[in-house]
Amino acid sequence: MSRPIVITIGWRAKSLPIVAKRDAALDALILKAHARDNRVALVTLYTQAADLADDVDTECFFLTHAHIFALEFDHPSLAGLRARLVAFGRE
Amino acid sequence: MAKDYIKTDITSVQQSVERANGLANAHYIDPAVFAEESEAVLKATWAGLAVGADVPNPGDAKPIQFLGMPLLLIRDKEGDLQVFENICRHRGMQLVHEAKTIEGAIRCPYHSWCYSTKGKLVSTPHVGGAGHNTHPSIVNDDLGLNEVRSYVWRDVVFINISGEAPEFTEVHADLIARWSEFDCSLYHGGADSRFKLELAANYKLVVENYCESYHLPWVHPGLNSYSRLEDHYNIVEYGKFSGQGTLVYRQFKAEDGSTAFHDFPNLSEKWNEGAEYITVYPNVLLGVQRDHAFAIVLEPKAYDKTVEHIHLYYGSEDTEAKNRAVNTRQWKEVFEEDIFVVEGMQSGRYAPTFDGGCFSPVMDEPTHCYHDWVAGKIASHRG
Repeated sequence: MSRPIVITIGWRAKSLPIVAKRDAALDALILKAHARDNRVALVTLYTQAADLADDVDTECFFLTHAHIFALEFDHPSLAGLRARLVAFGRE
Repeated sequence: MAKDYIKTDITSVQQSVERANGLANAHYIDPAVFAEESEAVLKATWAGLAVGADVPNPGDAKPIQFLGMPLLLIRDKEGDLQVFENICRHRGMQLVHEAKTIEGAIRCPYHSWCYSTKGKLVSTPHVGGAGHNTHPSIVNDDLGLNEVRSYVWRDVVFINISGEAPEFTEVHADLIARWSEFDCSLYHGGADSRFKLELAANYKLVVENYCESYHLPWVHPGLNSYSRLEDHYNIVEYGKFSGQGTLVYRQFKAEDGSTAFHDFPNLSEKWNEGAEYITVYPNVLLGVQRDHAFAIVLEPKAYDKTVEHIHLYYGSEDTEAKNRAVNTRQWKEVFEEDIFVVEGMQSGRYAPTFDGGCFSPVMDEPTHCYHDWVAGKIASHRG
């Protein structure tokens, strides 16, 4: 089975590639961030995963992770992530 | 089911100093007796846990084991100190494993439930299913971290595990009044003004030795040149506290002979050459002098193991590191001189015919006062 095409469309802080579709590459980045205990990167990567989700449940799953790691570090995106979850009635 | 130990006889302790024995050997060498005593003495009263300087900045958190209990000392974002049980209310997982600064929330490493630095439960990810972070049966307001009652005095964090002791300020009103002149800002000297001593002995023996001046000329002969035995007085308040005072305290001097540290502000003449060393029962040793003070929190690791956490404080931030370091070293030498007697008394508690010993009515009353207090707490606990 061929892998989905990954389109890198830019870079954010700490050299995290922004991908247009959640796939093995994004998953690998998430795993790498977990392995390195890079929780700030996890906020960005899980937010990306949420942004790329095809349905609300998947989006909220990843938003939840982004929100938790943002909460842990009082990340600037915390309020926005929480607002998205609240809007879905999930927080 | 009854606990498998024999209750010790404490009636011989609760006699006048002329007739009393000290606490029986079992209070020093029997884990079961120590466990009973800990309920009565360390958990039912206000015990010293740590100092505020252990968590100097907002968000600083330090996990501490106290009598096996996982506790968390934390300074919240507003700078207030609190003590919590260091466990998640969900599955009892230990929350914080090493001292660190909490930047946002305390996240449980198990299921990522999050708590604010004030202990409030703020998020429960996936608790209602994937991506559903609430559930009607999980009420955040009911599931904050379990707080341990605490009070900070002279930067020492005291805790009352049972939650049933009278207010700290009520219990220690007389001592607080006695040292009211020292009721001012204390400045911890920092990393060069703290050290630990580990002793193979019951913590009570450290207190017993600290309370009296009888041993000074024998164990600390270096003090004889300026601090003779007759220059000391007993401090005895039965049921409250005890210790010793000196009438010939001399300020710490820098290498060039000048006064090294500023005095605490607004002290009366009494403290020009006066200094006092008092035990805040059950396990905190304090000293006050015109130019610096110290606090020693005795950590009861086991019935036969104690860690002394020693901290030096000054009346201003304006102190030189070099002078602080010399002062710390000198105090460390003094406190190290006490180790062999404390550990020697611990070894002595295995002598089967030792009856708790006796007390000099003149010289040992502060120590008897402590025994009497411990015995009284045990008696109350036994009902």
